[in-house]
Amino acid sequence: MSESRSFQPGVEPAEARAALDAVRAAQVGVGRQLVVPRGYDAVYALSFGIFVVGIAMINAPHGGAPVMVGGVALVLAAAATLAGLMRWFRRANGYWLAGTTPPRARWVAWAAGVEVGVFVFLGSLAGSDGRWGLTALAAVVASIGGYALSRLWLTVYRAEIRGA
Amino acid sequence: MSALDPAIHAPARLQLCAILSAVDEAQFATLRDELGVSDSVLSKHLAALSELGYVRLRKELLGKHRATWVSLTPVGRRAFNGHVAALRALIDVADAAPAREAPAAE
Repeated sequence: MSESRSFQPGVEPAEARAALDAVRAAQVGVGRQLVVPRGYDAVYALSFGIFVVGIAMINAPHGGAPVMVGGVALVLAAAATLAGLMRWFRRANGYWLAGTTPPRARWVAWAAGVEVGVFVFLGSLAGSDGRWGLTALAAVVASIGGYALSRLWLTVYRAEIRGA
Repeated sequence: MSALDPAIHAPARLQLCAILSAVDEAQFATLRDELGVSDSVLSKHLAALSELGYVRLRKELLGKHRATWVSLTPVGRRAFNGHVAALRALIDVADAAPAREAPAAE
């Protein structure tokens, strides 16, 4: 290592204040510059619904191979959609936010995961009884929740780095 | 009390770490533009931080060109947070000092 890790230079309080101001300005600047591409949240939310239906089809006991294959195709489509969204966001911003970095925003990301899990369970339960209307309803509600959580995440993230 | 870290004390490196602390990954070109430095200057900063294990660099094919993505490692994140805490502590001490050192009124 070329540089010592611990030193206590004669840093003046004014210099320390300026350094902290620069840190905050840099962090707030990132949040302010972030561009969520038009339609990003909607496509993200749609992937939730596709995932719910896909898993329900895979778990359906009476559908046979065509339903199973259709379910696998939908799950792969949802995964490909999320991967595409990731590239889209990275290209638009030059940054990537996985959703798990600032502590409070991380809870929103976890909530989105739990939300998908709950509706995957409910959608699969309904699908196993052949009540596909309820599966579709679970997918729609999962999508609406996904949209809301996606918007909420950005709001919490920006507020969090403003107050960092 | 955390100590100030010389590796990230310089303004450009502090700004670099501050940006990286707010994201999971940042593209090299975005960092260069944000910092207003040349490719070579940014490369030198990143090489120094990488040597300390503070940042990780990853190459990715983005469209037709290759992009470099930079992220803070857990070690780097801890070092940055410690540095910021040390700056805050320094200010707190300075703010408290006048009250302690004020001469008694005659």
